[in-house]
Amino acid sequence: MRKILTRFIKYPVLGNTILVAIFLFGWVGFSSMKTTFFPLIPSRTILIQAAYPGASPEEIEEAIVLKIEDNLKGVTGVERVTSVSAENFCTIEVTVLTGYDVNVVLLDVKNAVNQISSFPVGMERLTVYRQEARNFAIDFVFAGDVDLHRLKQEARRAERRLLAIDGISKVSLSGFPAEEIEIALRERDLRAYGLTFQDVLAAVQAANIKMTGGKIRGREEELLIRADVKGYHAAELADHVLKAAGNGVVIRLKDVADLRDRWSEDPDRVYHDGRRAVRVTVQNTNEEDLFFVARTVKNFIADYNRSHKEIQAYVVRDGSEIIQERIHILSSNGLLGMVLVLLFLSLSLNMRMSFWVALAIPVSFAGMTMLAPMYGLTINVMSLMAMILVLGILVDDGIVIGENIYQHHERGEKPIPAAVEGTLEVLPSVTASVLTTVVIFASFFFLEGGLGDRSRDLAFVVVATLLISLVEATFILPSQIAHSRALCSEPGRLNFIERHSSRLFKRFRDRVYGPVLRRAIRYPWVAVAVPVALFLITLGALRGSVIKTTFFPVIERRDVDVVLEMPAGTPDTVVDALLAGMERKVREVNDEYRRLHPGAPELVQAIARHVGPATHQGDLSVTLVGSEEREWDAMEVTNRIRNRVGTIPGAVKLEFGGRGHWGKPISIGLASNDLKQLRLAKERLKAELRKVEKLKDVVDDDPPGLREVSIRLKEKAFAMGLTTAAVMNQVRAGFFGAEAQRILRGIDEVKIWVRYARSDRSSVEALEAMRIRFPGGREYPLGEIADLTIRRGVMTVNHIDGQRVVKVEADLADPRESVPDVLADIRADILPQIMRDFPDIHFLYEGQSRENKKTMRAMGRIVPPLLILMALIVVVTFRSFSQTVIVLLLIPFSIIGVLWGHFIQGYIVSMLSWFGTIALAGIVVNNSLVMVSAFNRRLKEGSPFREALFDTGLSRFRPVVLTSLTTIAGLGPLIFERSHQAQFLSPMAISVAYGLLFGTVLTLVMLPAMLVLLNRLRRAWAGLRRGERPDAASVEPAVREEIFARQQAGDCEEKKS
Amino acid sequence: MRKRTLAAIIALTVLAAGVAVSAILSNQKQPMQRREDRAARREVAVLTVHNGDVPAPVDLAGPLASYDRVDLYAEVTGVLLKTQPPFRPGARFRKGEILLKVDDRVYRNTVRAQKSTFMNRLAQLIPDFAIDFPDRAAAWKAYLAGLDPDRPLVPLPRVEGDKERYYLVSRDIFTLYYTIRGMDDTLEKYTLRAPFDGVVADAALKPGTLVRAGQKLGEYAGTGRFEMEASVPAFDARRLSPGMAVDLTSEDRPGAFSGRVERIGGVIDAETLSVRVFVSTSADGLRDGMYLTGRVEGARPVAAAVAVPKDLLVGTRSLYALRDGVLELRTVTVAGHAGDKVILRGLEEGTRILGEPWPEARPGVRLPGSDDAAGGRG
Repeated sequence: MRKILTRFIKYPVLGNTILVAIFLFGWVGFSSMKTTFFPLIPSRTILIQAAYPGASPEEIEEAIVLKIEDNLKGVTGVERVTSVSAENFCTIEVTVLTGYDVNVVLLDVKNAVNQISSFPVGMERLTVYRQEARNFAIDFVFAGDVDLHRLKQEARRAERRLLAIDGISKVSLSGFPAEEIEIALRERDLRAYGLTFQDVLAAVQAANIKMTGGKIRGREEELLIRADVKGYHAAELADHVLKAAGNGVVIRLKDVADLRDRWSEDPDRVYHDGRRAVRVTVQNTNEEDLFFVARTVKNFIADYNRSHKEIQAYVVRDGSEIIQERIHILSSNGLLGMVLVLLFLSLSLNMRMSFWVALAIPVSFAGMTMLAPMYGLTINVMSLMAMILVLGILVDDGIVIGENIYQHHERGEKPIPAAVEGTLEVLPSVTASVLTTVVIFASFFFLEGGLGDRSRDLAFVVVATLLISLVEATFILPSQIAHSRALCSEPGRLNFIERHSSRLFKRFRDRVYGPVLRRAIRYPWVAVAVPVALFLITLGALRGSVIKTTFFPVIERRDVDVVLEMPAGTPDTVVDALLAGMERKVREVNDEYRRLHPGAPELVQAIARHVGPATHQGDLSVTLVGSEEREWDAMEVTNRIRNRVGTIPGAVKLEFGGRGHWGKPISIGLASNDLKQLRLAKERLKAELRKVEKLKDVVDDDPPGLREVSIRLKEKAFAMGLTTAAVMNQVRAGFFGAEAQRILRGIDEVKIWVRYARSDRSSVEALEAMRIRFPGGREYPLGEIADLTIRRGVMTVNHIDGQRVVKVEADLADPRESVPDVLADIRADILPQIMRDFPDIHFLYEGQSRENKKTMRAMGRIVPPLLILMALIVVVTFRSFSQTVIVLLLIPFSIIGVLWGHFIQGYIVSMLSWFGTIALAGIVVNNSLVMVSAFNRRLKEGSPFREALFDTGLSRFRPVVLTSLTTIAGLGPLIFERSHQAQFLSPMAISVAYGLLFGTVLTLVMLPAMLVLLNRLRRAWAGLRRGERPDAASVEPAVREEIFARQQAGDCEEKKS
Repeated sequence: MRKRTLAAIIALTVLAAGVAVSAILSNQKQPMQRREDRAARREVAVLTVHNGDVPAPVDLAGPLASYDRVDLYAEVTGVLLKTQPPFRPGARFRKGEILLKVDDRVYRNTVRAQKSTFMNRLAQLIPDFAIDFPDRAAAWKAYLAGLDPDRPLVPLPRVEGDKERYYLVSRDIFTLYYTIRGMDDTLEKYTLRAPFDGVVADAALKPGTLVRAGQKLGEYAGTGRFEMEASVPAFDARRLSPGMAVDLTSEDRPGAFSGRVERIGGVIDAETLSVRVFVSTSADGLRDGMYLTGRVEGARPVAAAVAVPKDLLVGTRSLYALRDGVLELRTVTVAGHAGDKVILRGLEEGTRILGEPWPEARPGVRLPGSDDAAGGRG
């Protein structure tokens, strides 16, 4: 090592070459990095979808979902299976466990599903696929005073143009129902001609064809035989023959039905600022760059609007803007942090040395970006956060090495030997401190859950930059310092700033720290009792919710969603009218904002109103101005909209705000196979949660279903030999329709439906009057042979791991409230009563609670072994288990700083705070590592115990304070950043900065006191063994090691002589 | 040494202060605040059980069958003649109207010939009678004069004394007479007449068809009197007796009409575990095969029971009762239903039960306003 190091120091060109290579390849790596909101995580979801037209949710559950769920039991690698059975279709979601190959599990799932042979006959082909990871990029609409067909045409054209661009692959359209051809049969004509639905269906299928009949293979040419009588529009189908009357007269489709091209009856309508619109949503895959996609789409919109007058395109939501905002905040905070780090360095180190030490920052980042493409790193909030976090740590090894070289130089050594000796002397402890940080940050690679999965980039950035910085500090920095003027100038000669800062440090050290340290050494119990008491107080503050904790931080949004759900069966026109009313209320909030903040940009940038997917559902999507340009955060805007809208009579669901990234704060699943009990328990839970003052928007995912007409054959019908199935098939053909064919019109799949005209199926009376026909010409009005009763059906049936589950969810009225506290109260006060009354029901904690549990479980699994690994590194450095334990004890005590830091800054402790605490564990031991190593060195040099401890404290005071201050300075701007967007990132910075601040005090005061107590224990133990109390220094492992080494050396000398 | 002791005391004091402050802080947690729930605070109705006879109707349903229903068979052979009204399903006839007629011309002539022979014999007897039985001659003469070959044979004059009888026997008068009477009866069978007012339920043949003796011609159902056959649970059947009035309705006929329990089956059907009850009715507009529902309002009441609203039941067999103002679940026996009420047995006299559905209800909950034992709104 010495040889390599000497070579690097002697020939700086070696280091400089590496430096240039790092910068060069770093730039190459950086230029290929994409920008995303959160780190890209591969999808771990497998979807199974099946359509069974005309089937009720309960039928689908029994006939399809339960069979699939049963067969999925036993497939390895499945974390959980959830399903939704709705009218006509079902979706089963299989989540794959971390660590399993999703493609292998996909094959197993396909195998399991293919084994089922008893699916119902009418079920359409089942699809099993891995859900693609997609991110929202940009959303825009086409609106204008033209009909929907025109808008759709323009949107389709835009879709084709965008998809033709390299780098854009996911474009979807919405705001219009599917197109279809309806063959609306007239009942009286069917009776007159003696036709049934089946006759018409078969005739359409037989007549509307395009078919190849083979080839005529002539001698000179081949001719293809083809029949092409396929119609693609209603008018082309009208003349298809249904029946020949026998006397030369034919009955055509138009004789018994009205045919028309139309939109299907599913409501899918979008309005932009009150006008009918078609929405184009562009997403990006993990391989596509969000900024490129957003930029390209915006350019397309600008071009389009320039060339079109009648129809205009408007951006509704731009996903890149919020990232741009966050990246801007993080970048500016990072740059400011870097300036502060440099300032602190220059205050305490020689200016030139500060420069070379600070060089570690760009070199490490360049080295990290060089490796980034191999890892697949993107620029996102987590990677930027990691850069800020590591900013101050990067210079720590440089500070220690640089300062030690300088001290050697001050002792009169020549620059090169000073650089070699100075580096080698602290290299073990510096390496150990970097490795401990690397090991602890490596835990982020293994975390799970919503935020856990996304924190891997944080680990990569920190680990890569720290390792590069260690290489730089070991091989490049000593050479730069040795050849710089920092050592060429006369030792001890300082400039003005250095002189003053040095004096300030010295004065503080001698007048404040020195006396405190001396007392801590003399009265170690008091020095230890104070942090222990503080620890107890902190625990009390946590238990009493003085320091509040929650699962996840609230992330500032740029949009507010209002979701409305009326009772199933409510016409779409009613929902539309209600949403339009709410839209006016949103505009009133905007007017209020303008009144209160004249001159500020418009609060509401765009409102998209959407009715669908079912007739009774709809939502408003409100896009706000950028968070940096507005005075109110999204929560305040949401609350103001909520207050203005008030209650909507009869609404089944009215939610304001939209879904967070981590699920709902309160999400309790009630599981049981007894649907009746489940509903009763759900209502009880909802009623109880509505009473809790800290909660708002209490909703469930089991709304009352559509009112349905239940058909039950009369006794006499059975006596006539009729069956329910035979009757229902005819009812279904008339009212739901029978799909005759599917044709392709452009890229739209158009279904041809045979059913009654809408007027013939718009009342219960029409159903009663419907004629049910049977072979042999028998026909009966439905009302004659069946009883019709009206009742409420089921909307959806949800399963989690094969059990029926209804989720009751709620938001916090105040986002600064503690979710775990509220949940604990619910567990203690509400759930036991419900469990007692409904013993078959058990509860699942979903939403944030589940995500938190996943992450915490992963933390519990991975952090202890990594802490042990870290401890082993420390043991190797100290060659003492007891000193290692003392150093590690500082970690829990430094959490005092973490928690009170949040209290002081007015933040709530969240998952990101705990992430910061993990990071802190790696950083806080660094100073103590260097300090205890220095203390051991002094003991080996023969200093008495107390003097060695006191001298070490004084001598390490400056580097310890300096390394801590640089780290804190790097994070400082982010802690004090008041923008809405920084709110969720600040807790991590607070954890590290305040934890380190308190940890530094512990290192400087508590650590020496604990070393004294440990020494007393050793002396007492040795006294017990030897009968007399030995000298304090002699029981220390470093001294015993030295004595042992000398004895060994002496024995060798004796043997030689 | 004193300083070290002082230091130890300070350390302990610091720790004690830490514990104390920690305890104070941990008690700072606010209990969960709940919004005032007005619904929960209002008084909840309570009912007191008074067992007694609870009138409860018995519901029954079943198909209607005609009380008089005959299958028509041919007893003679011949070609079916056209009649008016035609014998077709749905055709209505009054009692005595011709349903069907078989061509009887050949047979009728045979009867006529036989009657002529009979008249010939009588004509030959008249002179002898004038000599041997002068006082009887006039009667026989009158009888002969009254005979018409196209009309059924009328009874012979009264025979007075054995002498006259033997005389007639020796001349085969009786043989001929009874042969012709039999032929007259057979002749009548060529014409089928309605035995009662009714409707043709089924017609197997059309006019012109050759009919053989023993062949089925159709079905004829009376329209005056019907009988409904219903299956009633054994418990309810015990509360019925013949003669009870039944209110009947049918989806196929507007309005309600009345009937009467006619007979009650003596055995319990092993398959349905119910008793067959026959209800007779003779209302207008009824048709064979009609499906009827009925209710016996005057059925005997359920003894030692209480009727409570159906929505008070928790599940199917329990409801909330009060014990010292606190709710508890009680198991009951459902003895029947009466409209929106359910008839329960098994509740002790004077038991106080929850009188309305209350969302907060669960075992162990004290009823609002029932701090005293009497609590609640009775």
